[in-house]
Amino acid sequence: MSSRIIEILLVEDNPGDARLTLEAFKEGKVLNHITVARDGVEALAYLRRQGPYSGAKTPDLILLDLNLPKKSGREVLAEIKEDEQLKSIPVVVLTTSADKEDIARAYSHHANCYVTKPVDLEQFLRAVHSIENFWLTFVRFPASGEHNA
Amino acid sequence: MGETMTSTDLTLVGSYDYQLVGLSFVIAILASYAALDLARRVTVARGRVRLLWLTGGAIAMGFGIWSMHYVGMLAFRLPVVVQYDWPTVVASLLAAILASAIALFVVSRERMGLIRAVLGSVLMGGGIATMHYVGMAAMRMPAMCSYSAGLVTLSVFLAIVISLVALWLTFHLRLDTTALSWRKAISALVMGLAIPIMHYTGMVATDFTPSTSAHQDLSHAVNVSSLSVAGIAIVAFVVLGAVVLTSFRFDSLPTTRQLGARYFVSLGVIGFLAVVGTLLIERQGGQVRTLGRTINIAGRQRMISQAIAKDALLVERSPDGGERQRQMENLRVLNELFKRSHSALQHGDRLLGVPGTNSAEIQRMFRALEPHFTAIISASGELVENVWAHDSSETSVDINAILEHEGPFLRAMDAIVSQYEREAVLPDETKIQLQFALLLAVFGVLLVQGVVVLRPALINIQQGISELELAERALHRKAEELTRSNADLEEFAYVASHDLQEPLRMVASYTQLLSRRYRGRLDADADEFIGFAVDGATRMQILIQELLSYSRVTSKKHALQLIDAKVACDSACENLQRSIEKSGAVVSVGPLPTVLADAGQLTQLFQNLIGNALKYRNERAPEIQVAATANGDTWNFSVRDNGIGIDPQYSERIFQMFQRLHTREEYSGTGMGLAICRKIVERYGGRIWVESELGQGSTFLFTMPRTEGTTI
Repeated sequence: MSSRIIEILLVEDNPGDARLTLEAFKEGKVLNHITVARDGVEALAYLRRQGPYSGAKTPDLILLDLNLPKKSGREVLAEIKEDEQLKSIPVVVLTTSADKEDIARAYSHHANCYVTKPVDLEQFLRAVHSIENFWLTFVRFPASGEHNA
Repeated sequence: MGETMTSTDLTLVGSYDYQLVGLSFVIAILASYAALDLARRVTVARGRVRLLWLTGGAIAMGFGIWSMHYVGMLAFRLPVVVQYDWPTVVASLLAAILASAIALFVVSRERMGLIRAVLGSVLMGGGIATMHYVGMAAMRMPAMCSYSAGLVTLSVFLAIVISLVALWLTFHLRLDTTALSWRKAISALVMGLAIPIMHYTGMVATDFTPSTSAHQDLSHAVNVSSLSVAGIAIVAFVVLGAVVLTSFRFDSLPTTRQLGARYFVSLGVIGFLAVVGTLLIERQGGQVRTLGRTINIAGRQRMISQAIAKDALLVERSPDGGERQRQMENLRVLNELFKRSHSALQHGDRLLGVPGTNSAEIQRMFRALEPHFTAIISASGELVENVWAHDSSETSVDINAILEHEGPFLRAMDAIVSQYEREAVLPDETKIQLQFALLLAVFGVLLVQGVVVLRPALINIQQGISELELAERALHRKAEELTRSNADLEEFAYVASHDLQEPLRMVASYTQLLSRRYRGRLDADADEFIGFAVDGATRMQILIQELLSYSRVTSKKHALQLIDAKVACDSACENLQRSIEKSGAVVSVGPLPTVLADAGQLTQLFQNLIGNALKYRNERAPEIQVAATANGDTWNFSVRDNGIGIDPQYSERIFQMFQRLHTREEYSGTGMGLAICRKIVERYGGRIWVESELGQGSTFLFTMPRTEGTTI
């Protein structure tokens, strides 16, 4: 499985943050391909292969920020988890918010994991590597055709 | 003269009207209570107000004592008509007022030594005794007063002793500000019961022996009706009651004190007017009654003259000696009565209750009548003698003389009675006018009272209320402004910290990435520059974090609930586990209570305090003790350490935002930790402070309200 290129959808409006996440994954061990969606609407369009994203690949992992333009991360999460096609994709909420309510709400919407972006770069890198390690190395996904495009 | 009571050995036995005796006791108790209260006011007042209180107080108290005494006198009933000489009565009232003035003056001094107390009580007791015996001297009656020397001395002695007790009690209770207190009430009861004892001893000391021969000046004598007793008692109650009533804590302000004094003085004036007016009206009423008696007697003279004429005829025609004897006796009695009444009408008669003071016109008329009167008297006298001598020719001459003079006498007497009736109209009118004048005067005083008391009082109330309303409105506005600006500030702090964080994270993250990827690949300067940039960005991040948590302390999101402080403290220690292990610290947590707080904030509070104790340590391993003790309605928490301590001069400053005592090189930190602690503690209505000496360790203490029923 590790030989396969892992598809990741990063939903993040801040290019700086997006780049930082990309850099973090670049230092990782797993081959991956990251697509960045800039807002909630774009993210859902990508996942549902609507409009320009008709040829999009279903990601193995979604990294979701909560504060997004157009449609917030909370709404995106809710829609993903209500969608029969998408709900099996693990969603990692990766956000600056450490608000208790945000965390509780995310889990009640079946987020698979909630990670607060650490302030310190080292810690951030460590957090991203843990995500990579856990979700992309140890966790086995249900074998489906779509995953093996 | 034909008095029936001539025995001088007989003593008149008096009886008491017990209702009036009771009333006199009640007045005495009220007067004593008022005295206690007045003493305080005179003591507290200064300058003109003091003089005003002393004067008004002396009048009120004197009036109270006097009316007690007077009601006590009136309670004593003698079987003869008792009148009072009103100027003497007024003199006794003045004596009572003077005694009260002395008493108030003595007790309102700063100190009261033995000499002063004894001197004061001798003067006061003397004044009261003077009032009593002057009052007795005002009595006008057909009897002589004789005093038993021993009992009089005893009553004077009692007056002095009672005055001493009263002065002592008053002096020691004068600063009791409560209007109704037990101590005052009991003292008033003691004093009020003691004062009448002196009075009744004085009454026992007096013997009344009947006599009409005593020369008594009746020109100012007044009958005291039950109406005036009621008047005196009511006025006493009003005046003394007003003293007690006006004292209900109105003395705190100069304005109310002055208004109270004015009110009080006007009441005193009304009381004085009522007494003097009542006495004057009584006197006038007495005159009207006297005139009534005079008219009766004058009218009777006409009947007597006719009866004499009839009797004279009957004497002549009497068939036998026995019948004649009877008629003769009858004539003699009629003659006596005729003479006595005639003299009484012109020269006065104590027993008949006529003064014998006549107008010039009536005197003239009496002079015109005199020949007829003399003729009737002498003829009837001669008749008796001639009948005894059996001289029938002379008897018919006498009878003819009587019959001849009877007609003119009757006509002249008729004219005199009419004249008396005409003259009686005037005193009756004067009495009505006096009553009207008294009413007007009282009404006038009430009007003046309205102007000098009620009006300023109402104006004051109005001003007070509108000022209060203005102040309240201003306060409300201020509170609203404050709430708004506070909310604005918190909102600002929250938004600023949140929004500042985003770009800052970029700066921090990318400088860190730069340092990570390019350290050693550029020159040494670049490494150092990047190092400063990373450090600055990191510190700013921490600052903003803390600012954020500071602004969050009061946000409404956190609902308060009962929290076990021990749990909060343990979780703080858990968060600090690594520092504790690294420093080798020993943290001992004593029994802690349950408090009403937010769990997260309480944890943060302990965490900041214990964290400081760990951070500011010296070379020894930190020993930290957390404890709590109950203190009234609060819990006192303490966090004690053995660290570097704090110079007491900084014990306030350390709780302010961004205030630090050390450089970053010595100890890291933002200067926000204790500011957050203070904000948390103050949110729960507590306070936080430090007790420390440089190098001696520090103890941080804070209080939390004790919640009902919580224990350690």
